[in-house]
Amino acid sequence: MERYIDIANAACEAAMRAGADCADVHLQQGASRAIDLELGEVKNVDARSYRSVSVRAFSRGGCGWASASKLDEADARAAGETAAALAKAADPDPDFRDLPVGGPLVEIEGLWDEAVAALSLSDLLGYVTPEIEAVRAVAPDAIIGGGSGTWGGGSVYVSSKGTCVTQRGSGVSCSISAAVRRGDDVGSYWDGDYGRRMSDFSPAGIGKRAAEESLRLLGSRTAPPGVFPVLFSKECGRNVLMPLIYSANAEDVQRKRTWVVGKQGEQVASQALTMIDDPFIPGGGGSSPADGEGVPRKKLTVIDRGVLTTYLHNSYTAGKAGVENTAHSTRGGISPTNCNPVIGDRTEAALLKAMGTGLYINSGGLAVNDTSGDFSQVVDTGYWVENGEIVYPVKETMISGTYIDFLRAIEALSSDPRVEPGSVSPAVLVGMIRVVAR
Amino acid sequence: MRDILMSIRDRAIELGAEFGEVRLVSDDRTGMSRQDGKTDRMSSGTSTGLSVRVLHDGSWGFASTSIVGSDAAHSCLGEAIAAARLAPPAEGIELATVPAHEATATTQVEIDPRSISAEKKMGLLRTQEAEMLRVAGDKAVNTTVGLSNSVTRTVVCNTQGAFVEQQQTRVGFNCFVVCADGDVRQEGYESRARLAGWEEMAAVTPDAYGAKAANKAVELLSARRALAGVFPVVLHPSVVGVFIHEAFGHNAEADLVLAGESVLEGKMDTQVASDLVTVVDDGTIPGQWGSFAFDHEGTPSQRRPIIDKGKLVGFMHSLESAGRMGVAANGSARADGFAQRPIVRMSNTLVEAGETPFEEMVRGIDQGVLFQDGRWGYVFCQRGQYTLNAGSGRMIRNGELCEMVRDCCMCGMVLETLHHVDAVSREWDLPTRGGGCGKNGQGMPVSFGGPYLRVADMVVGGQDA
Repeated sequence: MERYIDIANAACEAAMRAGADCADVHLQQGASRAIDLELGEVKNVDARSYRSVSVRAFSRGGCGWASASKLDEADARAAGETAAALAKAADPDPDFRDLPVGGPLVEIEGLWDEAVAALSLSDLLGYVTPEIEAVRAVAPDAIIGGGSGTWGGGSVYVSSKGTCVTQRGSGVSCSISAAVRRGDDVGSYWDGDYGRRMSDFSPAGIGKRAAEESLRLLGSRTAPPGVFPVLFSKECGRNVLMPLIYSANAEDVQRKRTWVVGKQGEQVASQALTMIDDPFIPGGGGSSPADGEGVPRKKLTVIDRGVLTTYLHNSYTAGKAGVENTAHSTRGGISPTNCNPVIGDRTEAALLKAMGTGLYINSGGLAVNDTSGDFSQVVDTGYWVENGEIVYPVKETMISGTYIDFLRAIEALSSDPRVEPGSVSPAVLVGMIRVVAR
Repeated sequence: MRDILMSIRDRAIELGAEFGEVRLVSDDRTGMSRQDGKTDRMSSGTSTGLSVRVLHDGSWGFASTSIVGSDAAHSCLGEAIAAARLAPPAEGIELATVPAHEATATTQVEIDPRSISAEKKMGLLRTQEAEMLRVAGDKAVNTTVGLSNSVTRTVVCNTQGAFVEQQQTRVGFNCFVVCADGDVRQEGYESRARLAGWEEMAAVTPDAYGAKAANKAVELLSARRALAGVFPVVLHPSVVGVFIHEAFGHNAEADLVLAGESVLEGKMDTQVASDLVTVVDDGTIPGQWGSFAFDHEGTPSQRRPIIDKGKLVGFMHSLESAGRMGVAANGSARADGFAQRPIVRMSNTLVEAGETPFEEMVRGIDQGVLFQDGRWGYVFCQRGQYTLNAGSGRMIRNGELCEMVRDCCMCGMVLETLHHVDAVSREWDLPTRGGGCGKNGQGMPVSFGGPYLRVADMVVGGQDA
């Protein structure tokens, strides 16, 4: 890693020597391996290595970027000089305060696992093979796809403010898709698992689940149109809540291009919803000790019993607003880390019973127009429910409305979430929503 | 570098590969944007790398590296061979063959965008920005304009004897504006993207882009939400483009057909659409965003008939899919940079024009919707269920275009929708706004368009009853 720190510092120094007021550099390198399947057989086996350096320079607040895929000092310096020249050509930006100064970082367990980084392609084959067999045991004629992959690498962040953050990361994943065809009738589903450390990775069972669900989705019909409650299963419950968190991006708010403008401190969702952004979850997919500008992360309650308590900031937006930086910079943007809802006290099965008649949706997300706050979404896979019992799978069925009405209509979150590294996804029961169908 | 590439190719054969390919890609790009009246970002980037792909004992192995040199290339070959050997030996794959050829292809460029000063480029953005603000007035709350250009050089060398060097120059430009009136907030977007030089940007006039984006956003402020229900719809060429690419086109990619993931499996030479519908994928249209001279397996680009008067007549192919289906390769395999394998991709996907005047299509509808400004969509290929998003529309009542409606999605089953097309307009457009397609984690420049299509009944996911 020392060599990469030297290269990053060389790039940063070059930018400063070329006249930048301040500069930062992000460098990353690593390797990945993957296999993928076609019709239940190994189709492709890939090995890749990657490396890149990017330099961001500022002059009177104006910003210039330069990047390169080579990691030698000469190319890194050239990138630094280019970034500085671009920054000087940019308009001054009085809203830019300065690059932030880093601070002490919390050590987070499980972001790097030597055993994951050492996984061979043969190991990956070992994960998918039993899952293929599991699909065939349930649905011998299933069309099977999916694959498995692993990655490991490191990154360096340095800035002219003296910040230096090095991180290592690893990951392994496995997914299986199954489709069953009966004439023109097709049921299909997929499931997967991932982990940044071996102890969080347990793909056993994904093949069986994908096969069983694909069979259950045969014979789909359209749902009756109308206004009904909708239960989003634990497979997708978190997905329908995350657009709210993405919309709470302070840059979008300051630019006045999101429906969340002016909503800080307001009740944007029902009291059933509390969401906490926690960057320190061991092994979490979104965990990291520092944000993209080297600022130490913080744990934050973003939605407190339905109230939007804060926007997510980077150093630029925090400086412009004169508020504390929440450390959500992606260096050029803003993003949450591991933002999860607080779970409720009834199981998904109990919520299904409580819903009575309505839609049960078990995959996909919610396409919210971030500007207007309207949504219009097809049901990728789901079921029509009567008297708390699943009756039949649906097709050509949509839901629509305004997102704030949707959030305010949340009645309950389940107590038995799907838990993945850094992600907690309970089922979410939402009151009356417009259901559109043929 | 040529010697290194050829030595890798030759060594692949010595190591027992049935097929070997080495691809070198270098990319040089710059971009700039303005937001709310001042420079937002100025950027410049370069990347270089190579990949090796081999077919060995019926299995594919692939490796890539951003280190360019003989040692790294041979190491890459070793990794690709080792990767292929990992898979259990499979039945041999007979690749389609393309006659050995050496060729060089370069985008026809009158003015190299790299020769244009930053100040001149910024001037274009300032003009567009000013036009957006002039039209939107105090309704404008956020304006963004951006411009980018790139030069990508790709060299493909394979064991069938192809040695193809291709240089593509791209220029692109976009305008985005958000307007607000009280709590109502709406957006307008326009862009132009061409496989060409700066001369294409010289054709950019403020009224065609900045003003158009602003007009759209302002008009949408007073538009009603779309109705929910099942209606006859007329789809604007930009929506038809999204439909034919996303909902149908992916099903016609032969790799997905072979993988059992397409609703078109087993339907060749059968009627899959109304006989009014003819579809082609054409990678040869000069200047168009999805065009190329050679695909990334070195096969010359072509015009590929897919549906002829409703009958399925062809798929898009790689060397492998063509070999497995016993047809000729048609130049559809492309890769997103050096670190990805070539896979079957669309280029410029089009529905051909029909004979019905647009006004006549609308006249035949008592209550329906004209959807405009196609934005995005996706399909579950195996099931054929798709969704489309349009940025705006107009209600149709008693054969007349009426009030504007806001963005919303539609859904359907792709083959049913294609059969329910009951009119195809003589008016036709292939938008030059550029587009990107995602598949297997790879992005790719594409474009799409066609005539207006009238569909007898479509599920419209509006917000109003």
